[in-house]
Amino acid sequence: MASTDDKVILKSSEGECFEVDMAVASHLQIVKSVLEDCEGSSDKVVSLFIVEAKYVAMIIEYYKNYVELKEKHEEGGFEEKLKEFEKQFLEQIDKKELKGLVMAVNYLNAPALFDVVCTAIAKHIENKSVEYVREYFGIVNDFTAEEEAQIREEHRWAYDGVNDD
Amino acid sequence: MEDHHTLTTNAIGFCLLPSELMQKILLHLPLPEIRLLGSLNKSIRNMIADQNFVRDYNLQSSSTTWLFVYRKRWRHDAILCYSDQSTRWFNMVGLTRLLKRVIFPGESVYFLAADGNFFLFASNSRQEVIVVNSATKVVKKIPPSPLGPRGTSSWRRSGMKLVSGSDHFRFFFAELVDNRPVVFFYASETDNWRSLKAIETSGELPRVNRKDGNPIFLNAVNGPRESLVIALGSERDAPVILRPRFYTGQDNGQQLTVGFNWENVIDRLYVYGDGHMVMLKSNGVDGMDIGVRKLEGIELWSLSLNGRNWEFISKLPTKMMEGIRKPYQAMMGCLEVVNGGMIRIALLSTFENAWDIIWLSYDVGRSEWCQVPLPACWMKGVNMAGIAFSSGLTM
Repeated sequence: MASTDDKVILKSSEGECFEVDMAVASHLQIVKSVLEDCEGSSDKVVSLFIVEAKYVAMIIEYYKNYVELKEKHEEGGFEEKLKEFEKQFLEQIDKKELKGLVMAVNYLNAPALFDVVCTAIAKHIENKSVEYVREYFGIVNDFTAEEEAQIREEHRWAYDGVNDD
Repeated sequence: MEDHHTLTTNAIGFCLLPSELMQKILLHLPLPEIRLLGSLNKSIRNMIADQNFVRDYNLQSSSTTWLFVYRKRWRHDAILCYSDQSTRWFNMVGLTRLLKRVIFPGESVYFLAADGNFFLFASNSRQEVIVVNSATKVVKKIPPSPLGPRGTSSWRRSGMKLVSGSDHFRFFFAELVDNRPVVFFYASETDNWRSLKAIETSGELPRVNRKDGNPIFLNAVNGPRESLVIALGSERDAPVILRPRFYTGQDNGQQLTVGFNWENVIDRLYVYGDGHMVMLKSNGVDGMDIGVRKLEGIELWSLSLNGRNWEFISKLPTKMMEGIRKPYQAMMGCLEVVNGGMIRIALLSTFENAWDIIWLSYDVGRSEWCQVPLPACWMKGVNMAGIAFSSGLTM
């Protein structure tokens, strides 16, 4: 296991500090490159200026489990165990928080989690009305009523939902 | 929709996601959903129409498998599609409308095959084959094959194959002509048919000149003991005749087809495709009509390397079998091998005037079965006029 030397402190936008194993933090590309840039410096604090503490905590939780599972299932079965964990992980996250999380993960450049969160958001908006998706993302409709009607009609021309009887 | 009100009150505080993030998220959605979201606002509409987005979507779309069924209902014919990435069925309204341009009302049409953006239909009334391109919205009748016009009953699923590129397609089918197996194929770019006589072989598969490295297998005759399969390696070389048999000798202790007994042959249904076969074993149901059966086992077989035998691959695990042991009166299906390693099986069954669809897949590399759960899709009192798998539906 990692010694105390292999720790790094991640500082959220509110200034809250999280002590994290390097093995976990190195999954965040931005942290990795910051540390590489100031190699030799004893100060191992990385400020994540725009990331709120709640998202830092989520990201750490994800990668902590990721690293643990990978170690534990070196022989195989890692992917399935990770999938199981991802399911639980996503259940605890509010649908609105997913958006904040995806921005944070994108900023920190953490590919594995990025894909998980993008998929979760996609799953959430799948099957929803256009109005709902607009509200969810805070998108302002800039079509005129005529334009919108025409686009809807074009779409209906190609596909429609299927209702069960 | 239950979040509607809370969302409205909080809407102002929301950060808008940058467009590259929206792009990444939308790429995870099935094609019909993406199209719908083009009506969110102008910038998203432009983003979806952007070359880069289209390219990214089309690149990953090859890994999405779609199941298409042609559902017939009085004045409400529909091509329904479902992908292993989506959670609901879609009605391909546009495709049905294109088809209606070339058929007369009430004309009996059967769905033959699909690949990429190409969909092939056979009209029984006019004995013609119609092709629809869902991307370019072009619908066209293809000229009759050298065998002349064919009714829908002449087309056998395991004896034909549609192979598409981005703009063109080939349609192959095998038939016995004067007792000799012949492969006929249509090339869309030349709008012509050609035929290739199949030759006997000493047990070698043909040289393959195809992207996926596998020959095209077309079944000319399907028998319970022996089939006649034609393997086509390229369009220049003669296709090769294979006569795979069931090995009826000792099982060498392998636990397969226990109780295999030719007298009981009526209890077995076979679905063939791409050099593979699924054997569906069923039994009568106590206290029900004679015509009612219940699935008891599903086995997957494939052609041996030299093409002389059917070789057992795997049996659907008992636990999964339990979930699909429903009574049925009639059953049909299709089988396709995708990218060499994934076998997809769709079973369409009817019981008491309602249809049921089961989608199974077998991962050859992992030796793993999986069932893709399908939501209901209005299956009462309708007819089914064809089923097919396809990958690579593009924008």
